[in-house]
Amino acid sequence: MRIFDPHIHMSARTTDDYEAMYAAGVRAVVEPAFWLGQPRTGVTSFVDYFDLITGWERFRASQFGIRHHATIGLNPKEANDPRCREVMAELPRFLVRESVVAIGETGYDSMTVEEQEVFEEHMALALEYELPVLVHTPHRDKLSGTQRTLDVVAASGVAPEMVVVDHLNELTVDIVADSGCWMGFSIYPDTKMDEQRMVAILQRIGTDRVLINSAADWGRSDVLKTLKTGTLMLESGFTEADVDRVLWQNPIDFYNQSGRVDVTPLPGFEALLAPPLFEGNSVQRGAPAVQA
Amino acid sequence: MTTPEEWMTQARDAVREKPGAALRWLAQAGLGVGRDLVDEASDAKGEVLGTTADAARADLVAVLAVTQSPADFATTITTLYNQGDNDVKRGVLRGLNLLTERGALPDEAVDAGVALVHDSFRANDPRLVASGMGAFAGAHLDQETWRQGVIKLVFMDVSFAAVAGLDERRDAELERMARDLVRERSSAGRVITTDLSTLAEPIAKG
Repeated sequence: MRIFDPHIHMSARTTDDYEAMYAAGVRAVVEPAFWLGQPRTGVTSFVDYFDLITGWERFRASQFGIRHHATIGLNPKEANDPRCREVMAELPRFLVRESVVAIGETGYDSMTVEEQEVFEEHMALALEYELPVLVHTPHRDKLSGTQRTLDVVAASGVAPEMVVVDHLNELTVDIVADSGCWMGFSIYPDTKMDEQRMVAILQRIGTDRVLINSAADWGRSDVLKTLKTGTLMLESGFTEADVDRVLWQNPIDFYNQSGRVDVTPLPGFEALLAPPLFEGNSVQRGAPAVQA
Repeated sequence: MTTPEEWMTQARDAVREKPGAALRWLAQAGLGVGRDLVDEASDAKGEVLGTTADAARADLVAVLAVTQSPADFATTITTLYNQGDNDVKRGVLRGLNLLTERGALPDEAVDAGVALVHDSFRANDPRLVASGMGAFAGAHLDQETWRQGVIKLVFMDVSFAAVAGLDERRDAELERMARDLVRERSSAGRVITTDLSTLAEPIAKG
């Protein structure tokens, strides 16, 4: 199984995690900019963090055979702090970086006016820089928050296929499916979604426009939830091609709307074992895998 | 589809016309010309010779040097380095190396470049530190900082092939530092690289 985790906060994780992920088949990740648990109080904290996730963390991942990409944005929680909001002026220099494959996480947390303004600014940047957008949905009042999220997306002029609405569940998936946006699901040990519920949703809606992530961070989370979901998909009657579609091709198709995704094998690590089924797919880049 | 050569021409023209917009071109040089290693056989990690994108960025820095006044060029490379990711930072340092190899640099550029090299030595990315130890540092860095840079490369497992002017600049103090490190590593049962053991031996200087 080859895996692209489309949402994981690796700067909060250990090298043991990287080793376990590589062993599980993870070859590429996207690390969205988000909050750190401890609120930031100024712009320079953000700038250093953006440099971290587009610099040191990308290099660190490469030492473990994993291609690392980032999304850049002011997260909705800190969008409420005027001291943090000044970072919006600093985003453009990060948005031109080759490691940045989307804008985000943006969206609503408490659904304040400030969050909405910053969300709309991000959507405007997405148009200007021709980048996809990763949209976080609130944990509280989720259904109405998700509906309002879709309203902002629709009003922004950004095409729905350029947007993934993340952290969905049984109650919010259908309105996002109808909107034409991509559907993101975070599989967590306790909260959000678990593997069984995820597979049940896939059985109902299929694999199109679905992204499955571990969203692992500094909280109780599991970097191998993507693998575990894929394994349960196979046990539940999905084919290997279905699993590859959800866990590998879909993240590439979504994020490579930026033109910046790199899933070529890192030199010095064993070559990716590409199933013949996907040869000739124009999205997959790089040399074919070494035949074992 | 733009070829690497076409992209390079566009980038050079754009940078010449509007030096203030150089960041975007340096940032996306990998997309423009690719990120292949210059010589995978001798430099598998790209620490010494770098990548095609590194070379493209260095070329654009050299274009800026002949386009702008020395003072403006100094400001531009500082801004590019501060606002760029490690790829761009490396490109700036490699640009300074390229310009040093081509001839004398104005004082303003030297002063700005030395500050950037100092910054690169605080990084933990071996490719960045290695770029900081090229021809520019060989010609302009003070001896004390330069020695620290050489020893840092040992810790980062970077080949001394990345160090410009090693034989000319090595001195008794650097050799003492190398011998101390050999002793420390020997007592810990660790491997002593050929680079390190060679540095620990005093050489006769003509």
